[in-house]
Amino acid sequence: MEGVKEYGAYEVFVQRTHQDAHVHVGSLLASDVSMAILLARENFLRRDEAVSLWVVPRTAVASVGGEDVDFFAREFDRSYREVSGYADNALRWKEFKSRALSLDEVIEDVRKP
Amino acid sequence: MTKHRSAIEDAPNQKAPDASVADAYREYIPLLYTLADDELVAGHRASEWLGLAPSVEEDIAFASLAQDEIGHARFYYELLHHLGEPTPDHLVYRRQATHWRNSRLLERARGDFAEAVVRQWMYDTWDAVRLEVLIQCPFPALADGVRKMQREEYYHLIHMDAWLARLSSGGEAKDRLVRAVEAVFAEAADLSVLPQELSSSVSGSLNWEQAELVFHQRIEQALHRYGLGNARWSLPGPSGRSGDHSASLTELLGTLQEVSSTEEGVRW
Amino acid sequence: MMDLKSNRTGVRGAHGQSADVDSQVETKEAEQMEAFMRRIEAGDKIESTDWMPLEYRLLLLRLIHMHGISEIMGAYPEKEWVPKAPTLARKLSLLAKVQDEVGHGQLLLRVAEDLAEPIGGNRDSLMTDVFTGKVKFHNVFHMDAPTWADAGIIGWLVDGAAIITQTALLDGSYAPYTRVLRRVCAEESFHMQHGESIILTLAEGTKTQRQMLQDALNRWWPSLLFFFGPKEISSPVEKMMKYKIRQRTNEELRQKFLNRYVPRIHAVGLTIPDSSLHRDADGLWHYQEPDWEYFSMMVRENVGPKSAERIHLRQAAHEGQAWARQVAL
Repeated sequence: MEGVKEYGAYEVFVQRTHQDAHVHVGSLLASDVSMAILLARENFLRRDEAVSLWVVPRTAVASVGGEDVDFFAREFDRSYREVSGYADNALRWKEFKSRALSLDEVIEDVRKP
Repeated sequence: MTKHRSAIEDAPNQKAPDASVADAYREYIPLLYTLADDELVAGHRASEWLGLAPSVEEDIAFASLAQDEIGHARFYYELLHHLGEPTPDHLVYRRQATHWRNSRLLERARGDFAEAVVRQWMYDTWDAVRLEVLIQCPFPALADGVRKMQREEYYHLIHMDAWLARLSSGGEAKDRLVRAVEAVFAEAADLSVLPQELSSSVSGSLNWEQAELVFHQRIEQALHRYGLGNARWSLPGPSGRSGDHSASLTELLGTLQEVSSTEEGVRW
Repeated sequence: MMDLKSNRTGVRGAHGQSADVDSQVETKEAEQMEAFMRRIEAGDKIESTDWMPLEYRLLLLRLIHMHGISEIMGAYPEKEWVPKAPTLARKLSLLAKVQDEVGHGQLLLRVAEDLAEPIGGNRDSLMTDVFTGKVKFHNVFHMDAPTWADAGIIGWLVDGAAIITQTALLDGSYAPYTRVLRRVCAEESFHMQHGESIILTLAEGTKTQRQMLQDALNRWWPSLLFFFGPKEISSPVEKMMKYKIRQRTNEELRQKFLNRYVPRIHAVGLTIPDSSLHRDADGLWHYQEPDWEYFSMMVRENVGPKSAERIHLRQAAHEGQAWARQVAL
């Protein structure tokens, strides 16, 4: 039809709490971005709680992934940047009659009034 | 043994009525009937759009609107029960048309989607004004419920507003919208009418005339904004607020009460 | 816009090749097919933008299109009972449930739309396929639901059957479908409770209510058995298993349904309208087969008791209200 704008696809992102990042939950068809926001609430948040909602026209999304797996390749040892790379610390602390500190303990301690 | 609360129980949200507290607010009963019946009938009609809205996405959104209205109706019916009236289910499933106090606008048969939008917009606009008045009322249980409702109604208004903006842009949609406005004005006269049974102490405390003025202003501004001409407020005629309903309500109640009336006094 | 893929794999750069490279294209496609099957066999998940053989695309599209449309057509038999639901709580819960079904339709159609897009399909064409009979929907949604107990049986057993077929697809190879199925199954767990709640109340109720429930079960039983599909493994099913879209046969799923529901149906005091129904020593259920031809024809030709009426409703919604979607901007 002439002069008619087709419904476009919008990707929907929901932030559940302020401490969460926005997470992609799906997509919908809508006439425009403001209608997309209105519809997204009921299409994706009928039960879940949220503090923020994004809709993004699909055409605005650039991506890499899927079968282009080499993009994400990490082939060699990087345990030097993981906690698991330092598992021996615990044993070594034992030698000093002490024990390794975990982040959880630190957080718990700091949060304690 | 702890009794598990079930979502299907009648009136699950409120404790048994406390007679002494209840007595103080019984004056609100006639008003609560108009509020409850408005929401129930509006929700029932909105739910008829299930599977029939212009898009799948809108179908879902419109169904939420229907649920919200019925949920609000349930709140008011529970409050009525709290004040010593029969249970919510009894009030919905056992009353005949002449006992209903909803506006005639809301009982109208479904019509097209343009009419659904205009009707919902007109009603939500009035409801928003009405809630702004009621939130001030000295009946705490009512004021608390109103506060929650206001938050949910916010979405209804912006949703309907988005549709009005869209449909008013031209073409067949605009033609239908104009016809819908015509039809809705023809039945909107009793929307802001207070029930006759309401005591003068309650009605006096509500400043209804001011509310009606604000309501008319908001409608007129929107009509202007969307190029829909002037308001056509009709003169007071038969009023749903006194139980004077159209055949549409009888039809609606026939459907609504069809199953529950097959066997009375049983659980469903 | 960034398009890293086209440089590396050539997936999106496939257009613009001249005729003299035809044989190279063929070799390339064979290679792509091989690589694709290696991914499938390795348990990789496929995304909508990945290269996929046309056969895979069409199989998925047929499956998901039918699934999505079935959800939407499935709204109609229950929708009839929303205005008549006998208590406020039932009205709200049925309304929410039917809304969810439409919501599942929406999610599934979006997945189907992405599959259809490269071959020229979109929401409008997928919906129009309902009216032209190009897409089928499940037999159960062609059937009449004449009493409130039918609304209960649909929620309890039709949804119960659907949950079984859907969970069987949760681990499939097409990632967008499995993501949506995960959400669908989560919501179905509410639908199960909703259906059970209705039938439990009827089963606890008066003689008339129990009879209404029994009559509804009698009406739905053959449809429920047919719902899982024919016993023999058809060629599309075989292909879907090859591509790991699904990994269980119709009959395996029907057996699981019988395992799960026959004892419960008996427990609430209902009689299954099949005196030959029994479980053999190996734990296999034997049942009177539904009229395969009757139901196949109903689905194929849209000639069930309510097919025409419900297709007409869908058409009225989609075509009759095109004006509301096609507002001039």
